[in-house]
Amino acid sequence: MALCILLVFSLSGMFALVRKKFVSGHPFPCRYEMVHAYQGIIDGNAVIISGIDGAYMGHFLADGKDAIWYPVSARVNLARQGKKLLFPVASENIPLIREYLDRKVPVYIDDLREFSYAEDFNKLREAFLFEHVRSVNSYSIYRLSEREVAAQ
Amino acid sequence: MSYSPAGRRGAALAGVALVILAVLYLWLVNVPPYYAANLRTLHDEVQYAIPAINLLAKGRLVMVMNGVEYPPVSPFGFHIILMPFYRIFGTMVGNGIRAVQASSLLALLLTFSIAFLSVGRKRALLATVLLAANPIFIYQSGKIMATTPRLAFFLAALLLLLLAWRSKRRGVLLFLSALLGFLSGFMLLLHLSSIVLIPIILILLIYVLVKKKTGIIIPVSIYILLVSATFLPLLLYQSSAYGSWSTTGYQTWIWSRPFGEDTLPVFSLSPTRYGVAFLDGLSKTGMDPRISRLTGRLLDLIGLGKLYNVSVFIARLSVRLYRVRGCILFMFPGGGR
Repeated sequence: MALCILLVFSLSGMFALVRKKFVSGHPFPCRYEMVHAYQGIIDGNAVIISGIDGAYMGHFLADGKDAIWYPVSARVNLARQGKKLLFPVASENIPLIREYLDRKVPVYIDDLREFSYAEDFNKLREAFLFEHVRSVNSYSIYRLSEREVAAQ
Repeated sequence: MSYSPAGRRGAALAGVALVILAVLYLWLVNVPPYYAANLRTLHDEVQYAIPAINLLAKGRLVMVMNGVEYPPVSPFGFHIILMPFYRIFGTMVGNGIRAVQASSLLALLLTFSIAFLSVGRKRALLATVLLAANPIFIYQSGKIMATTPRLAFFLAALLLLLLAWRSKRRGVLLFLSALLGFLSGFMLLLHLSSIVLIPIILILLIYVLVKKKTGIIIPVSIYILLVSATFLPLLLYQSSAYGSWSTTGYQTWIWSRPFGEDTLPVFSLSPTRYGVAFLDGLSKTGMDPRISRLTGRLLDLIGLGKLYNVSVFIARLSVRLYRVRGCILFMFPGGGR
């Protein structure tokens, strides 16, 4: 009796998993498609501000691209070792981003993790204009530009 | 050894059932590399897959960020397992999932083998179904993470203990102790939290040796020697990668980080929990009294076998209660980081 109950219990779990597999399928690989979209956009020198970690981004942008990655927030994975920040955080270094824009270096940002890092994105949205460049599923890649220049 | 026709037919049916179960399981856990390439599980999947590819392509176990090379967070055991799979299937990051799927299938077969040796084929099939239907086991088998390979190693260690229990020759026992030492050492290379498994395996080995009255000192010395020899390269690696032999990647990357949303993977599972789940499931199938004593002592040692079932029950009530289940599972020894 106990064995039958166990068997029914485990088989019910398995049927639930089979049903889930048919109904929901695999989630769309947003990160993977996002870095591929960046690969298509970037031609030479560029700055990428993203919530995607630098190791993943660096792996795909290493060949023939001269792109620099900055984390959008200090909470982005692998952005720091312990308490030590490895790279300047874009939302806390607005003048640095302005410097790149002054030098005509294209600066891109994606909204993949905007929900997680909303405060940091808001700081950047206040400082710069976001010009839509490409869509990836329900997310977007934007090119940053100065608000004052755009106003002129 | 001779078998009756009915026995042969039963064995053939069990074999067919195992193959069907393995195929169904592989279908359930199959995540195409395109989807696996997303590497979503915080830093874990990234710091396994990318250094493994770099190790294969450049000969350096590193992640490259803005042209600067950084060592991975975890020890290099899983990277070594990933390398041949990237060699065979190509260096697209998602192909690392094949290593996880292979090790989860191996875990399933090891579960069947252990249960077959101890309780017979029908109950072995039931034990295998119990593991194959574990939703979190299936979840972990779809991630490029070291959890499933660690489970396979732990189950392999349990199988070796059972073989040691059954062996009659001292030479075989010494060989099994050495193999057990290597497996235990490699589990440490997969994840440092495996250190909680070493004393458990050692106590079980001593228990087997005491019961068999074959002498304890030499097999235990061989076991400890092999664990140390397998673990030593990690200390040398830590010395070169993190500046000190005693500094781990976790200390460097994570531990000094304040607790926040990024540190939530404490809810992930460890092989200890799988081992408990497996043994708990196995003990319910009515074991051979000899083996039952052995696993019973392990369960007593861990002392939390029943809690697993409670957590499964809670999680089945509602998906929202998964975190409650995570909290309960976190109470298992070694069940977090």
